[in-house]
Amino acid sequence: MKCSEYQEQLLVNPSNVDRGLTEHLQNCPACAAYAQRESQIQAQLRDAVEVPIPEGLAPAQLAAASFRQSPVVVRKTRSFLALAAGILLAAFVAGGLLPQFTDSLEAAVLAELAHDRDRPASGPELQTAELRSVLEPVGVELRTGLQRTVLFAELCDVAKRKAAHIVMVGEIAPVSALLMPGQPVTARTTLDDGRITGILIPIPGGSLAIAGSPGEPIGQYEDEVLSTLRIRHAGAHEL
Amino acid sequence: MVEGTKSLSAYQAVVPRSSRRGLRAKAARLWGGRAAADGEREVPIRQRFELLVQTDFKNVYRFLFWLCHSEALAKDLTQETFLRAWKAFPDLRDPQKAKAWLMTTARREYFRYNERDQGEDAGVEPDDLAGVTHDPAVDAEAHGIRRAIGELPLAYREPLVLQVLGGYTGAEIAEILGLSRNNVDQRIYRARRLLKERLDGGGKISV
Repeated sequence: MKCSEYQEQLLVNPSNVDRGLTEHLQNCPACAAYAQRESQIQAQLRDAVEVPIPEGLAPAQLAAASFRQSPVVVRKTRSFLALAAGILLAAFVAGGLLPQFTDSLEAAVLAELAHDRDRPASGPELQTAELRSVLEPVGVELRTGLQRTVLFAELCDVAKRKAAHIVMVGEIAPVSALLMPGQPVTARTTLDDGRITGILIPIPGGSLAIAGSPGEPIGQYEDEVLSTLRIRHAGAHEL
Repeated sequence: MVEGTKSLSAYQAVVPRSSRRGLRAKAARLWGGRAAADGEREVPIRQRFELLVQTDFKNVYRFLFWLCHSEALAKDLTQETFLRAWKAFPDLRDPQKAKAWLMTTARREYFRYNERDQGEDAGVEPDDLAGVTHDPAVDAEAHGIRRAIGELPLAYREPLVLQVLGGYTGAEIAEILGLSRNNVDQRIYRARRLLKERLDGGGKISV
């Protein structure tokens, strides 16, 4: 194991007692010193995050206040909320308000992409099997492996629904693809907030956004994503 | 660890007839898992919830504080978290997941509040952390570390605080935050790198 690998893994998890790490530590004085310093920092961090508990915040009062309401069967509440949401959605669609919904989706997409703007431009490649396991829960199917190197993938919340966020190595900087099952858009839209440019397009079962730094050949990513990924079903993934 | 010791005492106080077979056995009975087998009474749901509040309210408050940087708001959100948790408590079947579930609930309360009243994370204003950066109980170095944590972007602050505060594993943090394990590891790595840069360089965190 290289010192850089050891130090990276220690930063990810200072409590890691992996055998490989331990063996490296025993044979490398430089990393032993590094680990000692990290251990001190970890102790300081622990002290620092334990901010004082304000007066009046006591467990007995918290529990008593909670008990003033009876526990309810949450499922029923959710059913009611789902019904209410359905009625609202129907009212929106009937009222011709879908374009406003599209606008808010556009804003939500840009917000999600901005959230990860400073993502590292390189890193270990995500394997196809791992990518599939991330996409599966939201009904997104990976038909063949992506040709681009995938840095990572995650499920995220976009406009209160689960979406699949894939980050690929781009030509200028990382490029993101957001697959949003059950979130339709009426037409192709350009995304541009000055720092991110891309597209938001309708696809069967939802919508797809692809974005990257200005100058990135977004069309090429679009072709590849559309030929390898599809929304199998638009499941109920509301938060 | 200190918290765990307190929770055991608290348990013994509410269930004085408990036998002495170790914390794990007590916790299992507390959740009703072994009550029938042991022929002992099952602890009522209210007592189970009270114990959860007692053992975890500090972590919930502190996690919320590091999300919102406001003592008053974190206090209110802590209350809201437990109100909501009590409503859903009968549906919680796996005691092993209680702590992570509570943090997920707390986090959702914060984002509900943010969406309702503030919009996106407003970031840290110089005075937001004044309460804890002038805490007489800790030294100047700790104040600096608190400020540095507070200045981390929310995406990095969240997993770091969960790891340091609650000792959550990468997998648990991934579940709480709804992220992949890889992503959590990357965020924690970046958070710690930014903190080191800040603390070594003495400058403001910039990402």
